Amino acid sequence: MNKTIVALALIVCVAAATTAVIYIAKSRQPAQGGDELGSADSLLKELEDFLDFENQEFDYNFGEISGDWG
Amino acid sequence: MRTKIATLVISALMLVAIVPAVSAGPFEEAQARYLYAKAELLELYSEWLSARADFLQVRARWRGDRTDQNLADLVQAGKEATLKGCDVVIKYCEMLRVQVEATRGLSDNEKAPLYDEIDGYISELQAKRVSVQNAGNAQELRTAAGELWRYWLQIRVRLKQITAQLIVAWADAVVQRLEAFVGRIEARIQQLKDNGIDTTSLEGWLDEFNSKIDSAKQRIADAENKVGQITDDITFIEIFGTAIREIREGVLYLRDALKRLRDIVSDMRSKGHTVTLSGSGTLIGHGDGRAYISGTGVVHVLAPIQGTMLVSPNANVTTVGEGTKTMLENGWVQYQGYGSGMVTGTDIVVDISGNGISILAAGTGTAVLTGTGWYRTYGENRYVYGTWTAAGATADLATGEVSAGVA
Repeated sequence: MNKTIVALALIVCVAAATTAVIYIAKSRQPAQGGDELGSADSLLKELEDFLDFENQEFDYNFGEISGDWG
Repeated sequence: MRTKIATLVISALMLVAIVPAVSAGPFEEAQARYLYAKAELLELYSEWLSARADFLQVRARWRGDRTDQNLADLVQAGKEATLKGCDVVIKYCEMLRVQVEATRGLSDNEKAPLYDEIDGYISELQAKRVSVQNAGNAQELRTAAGELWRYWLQIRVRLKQITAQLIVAWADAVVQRLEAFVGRIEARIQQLKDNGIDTTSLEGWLDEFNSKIDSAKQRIADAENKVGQITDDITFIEIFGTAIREIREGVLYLRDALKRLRDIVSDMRSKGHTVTLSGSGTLIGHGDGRAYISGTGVVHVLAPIQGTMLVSPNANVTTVGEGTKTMLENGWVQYQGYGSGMVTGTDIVVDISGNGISILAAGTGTAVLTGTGWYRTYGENRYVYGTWTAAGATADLATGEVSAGVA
């Protein structure tokens, strides 16, 4: 049982580590254009999401609790 | 023994697996925290709406049947709703604080007062929450809720103003990122042109890029003007909305500009011409004295200089307006009196001396500024705003780092 758990944990960790190593290797490659422009694209996308969120109307009206209840 | 080895291996592998999270930059890390805070805010907001609906229901019941029990229920429902509401606005402030951290384009010394200000709002809201929590009857609860409500009305305009300020800084940082890239691209195009390669189509896309980026800058400047107008409780939502619309239009232009850059890079690469964009940044400088820029990219001279500009022999210079161009014995070229100009090239030097210096340097290299004035850097992960003095300031375009003195 213990051996099975260890084996499964190993498989999961190897997969995660492989992904991590690929990620690191990619991020350390000198960008020749595409990746860097992709980062600007991500910044724009995040900005658009922020604009969408901040443009929503949120109702924080405590006035009806502090006002007349009668 | 084998179990111990397995444990060690697992530990080592897990360590490797978490490296990407740790290696993320401060802005990415703050952005992740912002998204988490936003999710928490939305959950709290939903709870607040539910608690307020409960309060309104209990209030209707009490209005129909004014028993002591119904009043006690109403006080309880009112307290729960107010506490939830208070939690929402506190979370909103916390989220905004994290957004300040995640916003590119603002320097640390510009962010610090915003942190202090937002922390002050959070502390005051927390104190008012305690008052709500301690309210023992209907009157005390209404008084505490009223104080909270008035305080929220007081700070919400300023919070929107801060939000708009962040949006403008963010959009401006994207503009500067693209300017940094195009600085390198222009230098490379110039290099190809000098080598006899036909760059007509590249220059056409570059013109389109410049047109789009100019339009984006105009929209962002319009939005920035609106930020200052967010001052009163009546019009702030409308003005904020107008600023958002301006920025949205700016973002559309930025997307178009980015597309042109992709076309250029893609075309260059398909023809085997490498172009390196990483390690690029921009510097904006205004003042009197001397600006000595060395590196690869573009230096835009934005206004007439009351003085001289010396340019290394390997640079390509375009000027606007009337002036004097003098070839010096060492091969350098001196410019005097022109309205504006642009210097492009690889491993070039631009040495400007005089009053009214107004420049944008984009690409990679260093800028040494001496005299009096202010500068702003947009590095890959660092943004600095400061003044330059006679002692000098040396800026690294790529990183955005600035050190005191002349390097």
